[in-house]
Amino acid sequence: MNKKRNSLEIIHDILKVIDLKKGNIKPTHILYKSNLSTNMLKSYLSELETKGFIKEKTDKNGRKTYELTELGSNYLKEYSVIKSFTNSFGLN
Amino acid sequence: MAFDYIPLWLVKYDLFFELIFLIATLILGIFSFKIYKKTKQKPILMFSLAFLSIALSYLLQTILNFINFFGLGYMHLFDFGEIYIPHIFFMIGLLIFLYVTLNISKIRILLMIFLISLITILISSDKAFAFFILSTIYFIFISWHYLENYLDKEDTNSLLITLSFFILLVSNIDFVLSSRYELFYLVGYILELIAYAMIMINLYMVQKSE
Repeated sequence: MNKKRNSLEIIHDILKVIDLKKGNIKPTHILYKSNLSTNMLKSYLSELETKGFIKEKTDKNGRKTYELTELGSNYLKEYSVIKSFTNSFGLN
Repeated sequence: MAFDYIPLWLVKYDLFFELIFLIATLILGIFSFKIYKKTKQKPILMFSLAFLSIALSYLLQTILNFINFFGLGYMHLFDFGEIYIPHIFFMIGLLIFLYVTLNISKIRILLMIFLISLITILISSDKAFAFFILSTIYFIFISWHYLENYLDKEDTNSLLITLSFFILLVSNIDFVLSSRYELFYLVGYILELIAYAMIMINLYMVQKSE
């Protein structure tokens, strides 16, 4: 059985899904791909937006989509260092 | 962190050891802060502040040692109501570690532990002894957290950190004993040096994991 994901892993999974779709992904698709409950996803998306990892956009059909900011891209690039650091110091 | 019980023959080495510990904790504090800037996670910020507080403690101690060593006067420069200010910053650093490792949810609990610790040291007749006893208790709980972390992760990095904190715990016990046997003071320093070297090796391995 898989271990429960910690918050840094969940953030990584959400950002990766958004990155794969090149900033053109709707909340329902993120929900499907990130394997979270609706409330959990709302909470994470709100946190990520507040902290500047993602940016909300509206597409030409008026639907809400998300894209990564520079901070979000950096998080993905440096995830292995972040994970190694937090794992070794028990910060997750 | 060791002072007050320092044997005279060790004074010049004291300067060297404290400088090394200052550099190590400063690097750890800055590296942790960089990780915080990338993640914006509060526990990582607190972890960084813990190391920076301990680094500040070593900085003040290094300045004191420098003044002392070159005979520029003493010492009461960093006294505060008979409590050594480097002690206070070291204790704040350890308490922030406890806040992170024990998942203490309210800052008031941390403040309460700090005040109890401060008052205990203030009313103690041997303040350095009280400080080392309290910090030994803190190190027991911090090391316990790292042992649990290692049992969960079972990787080399977390093993290194667990061993480092256990060595820091033993070095602190050494400083308690140094009030009676001077040699323990030197042993405590050497153990502390080994522990920080291991933490720095871990940091190097973390950077290599990119």
